[in-house]
Amino acid sequence: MVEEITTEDVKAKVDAGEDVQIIDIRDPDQFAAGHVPGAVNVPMSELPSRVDEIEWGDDVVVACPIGQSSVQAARLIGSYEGVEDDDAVRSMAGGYDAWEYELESDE
Amino acid sequence: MSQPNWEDVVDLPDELDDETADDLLGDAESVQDMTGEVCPYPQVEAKKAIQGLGSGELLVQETDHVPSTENVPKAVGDQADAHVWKSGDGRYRIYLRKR
Repeated sequence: MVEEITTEDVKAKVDAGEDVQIIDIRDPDQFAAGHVPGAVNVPMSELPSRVDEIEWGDDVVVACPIGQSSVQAARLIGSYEGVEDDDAVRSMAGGYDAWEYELESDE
Repeated sequence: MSQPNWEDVVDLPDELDDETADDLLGDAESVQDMTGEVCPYPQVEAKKAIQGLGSGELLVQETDHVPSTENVPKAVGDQADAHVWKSGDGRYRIYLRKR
């Protein structure tokens, strides 16, 4: 079962400078237009092949448009053997739809 | 080391055999080609289409995005019964029969 984390809690972690790894699974153009500050873009289609090249931290949050695909993405990451059982891989509840805070853009 | 696979982590609805899947496709009221599309577009389109169907009518979505097979049925919730057919080459059909 994938745990979910609210956008409020993600925002609080980012603001506090916590060591949280935010994985944005949307398309690169959506990511470029605006993302959670500090997020890393790993498009969903590339995730299975890239999961072993990423250095996974112990606090991972997956973000997608509406917080559904991110649940499966979190399961996928959590099933990877390089991720320890006690590491948290969570899905951002409601996705970007629910994110009401400032976005960071590449422009 | 084996690569993680979407199918291992996606909660697929009940599967249809090839023959049933083909027969049902002919009966479908509406067929949506969602190849190449990802969340949330397929969910949104499925919800819209289901609204327009009568009870017992069938909506089929074709997709190459495995997570849709879980998310689309979830999006329409208890408005429809879901089945999936796997082509074996990475394409899927999601069958949603309106309740």
